[in-house]
Amino acid sequence: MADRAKALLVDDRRDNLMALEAILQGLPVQAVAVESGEAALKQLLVDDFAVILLDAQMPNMDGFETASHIKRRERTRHVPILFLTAADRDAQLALRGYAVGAVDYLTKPFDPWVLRAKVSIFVDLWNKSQQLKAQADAARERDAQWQRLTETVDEAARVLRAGGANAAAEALALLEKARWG
Amino acid sequence: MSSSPGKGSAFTLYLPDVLLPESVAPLATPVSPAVPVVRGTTPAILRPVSAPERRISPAAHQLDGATVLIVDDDVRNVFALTSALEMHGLQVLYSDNGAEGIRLLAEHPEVDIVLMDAMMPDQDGYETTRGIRRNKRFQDLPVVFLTAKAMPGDRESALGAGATDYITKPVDLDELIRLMARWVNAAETEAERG
Repeated sequence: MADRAKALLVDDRRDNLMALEAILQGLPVQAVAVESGEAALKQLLVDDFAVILLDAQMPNMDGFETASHIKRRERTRHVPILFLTAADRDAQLALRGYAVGAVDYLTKPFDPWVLRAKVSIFVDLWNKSQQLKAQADAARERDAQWQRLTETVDEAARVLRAGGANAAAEALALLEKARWG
Repeated sequence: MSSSPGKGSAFTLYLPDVLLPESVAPLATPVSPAVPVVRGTTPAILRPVSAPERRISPAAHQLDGATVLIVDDDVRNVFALTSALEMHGLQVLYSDNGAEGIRLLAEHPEVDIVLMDAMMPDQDGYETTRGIRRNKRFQDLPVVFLTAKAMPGDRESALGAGATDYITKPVDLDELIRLMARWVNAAETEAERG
């Protein structure tokens, strides 16, 4: 298995980030906390994440703008975004979150166990997709090897059919080279 | 932009000060009114292009699998530029400052070309490029400057600092791809000749 799943936590308030980190404590996920949308984009340029917890209201680049950048990049567009906001009265906010591609929405104060449950689902999904990727790579590798061996068998058969004093030794050399490198 | 869900063009970047009023107005948060002043200052790296499809030009083919290091402190623009370059099959490494850019370069010998922002706080693009050129290993590495303004003399100062070439923002993506392909291939031909 490759890397440990990572969660990107984005909030302009340090105490909120610390609370989020505490909530995720014990889950099989590494929390990476940043204090702005800009810093979140920087992280996404150098690392891959299983899930993003994104504060909707931040100064300068807010959560919606951050999400819209994330959604426009092929490599990050499928990373699930959980929007977190204090504006529980405004149903419009939830709609805007979904419109930019958020997969879910939590209003503060939220139940820590609900957040934990949601994050662990995305972490499971990420781990499964990593496994699938690894299996796909292994399958590709096997296909390539099978292809190489088949070609060598054909080549060895040609050599044998052509006959000649050294045919058997040549064919054997080809086969052993393909098998053992 | 945020009012058009699912549009998702990797080649489109709007000016930040166009984005802001639209994305903040319905929120009416107390923090936002002070913001536009900060944000209106940077021009977009990319010229808006309407076609969202991945366009494969011969130049882009030559860049498939190449590695580019972008050194630029404006992450909005870098993110858009990175999306576009990744769509063309490039591997993108990123640093938001000159010192880390040089460190990344030392750690990643696979870098084929560098895109360098001229204007950065602390160590600007000129100084960073001089730092890169001081290392013998990077004497022939293509370093292409991105600058906001086409001021007379800028090209000369960039080339004087050791830049290979120069392109002004907002960057036309096709032009950038052609230019990058030219320099990456020139460097490869040079390497083959020994």
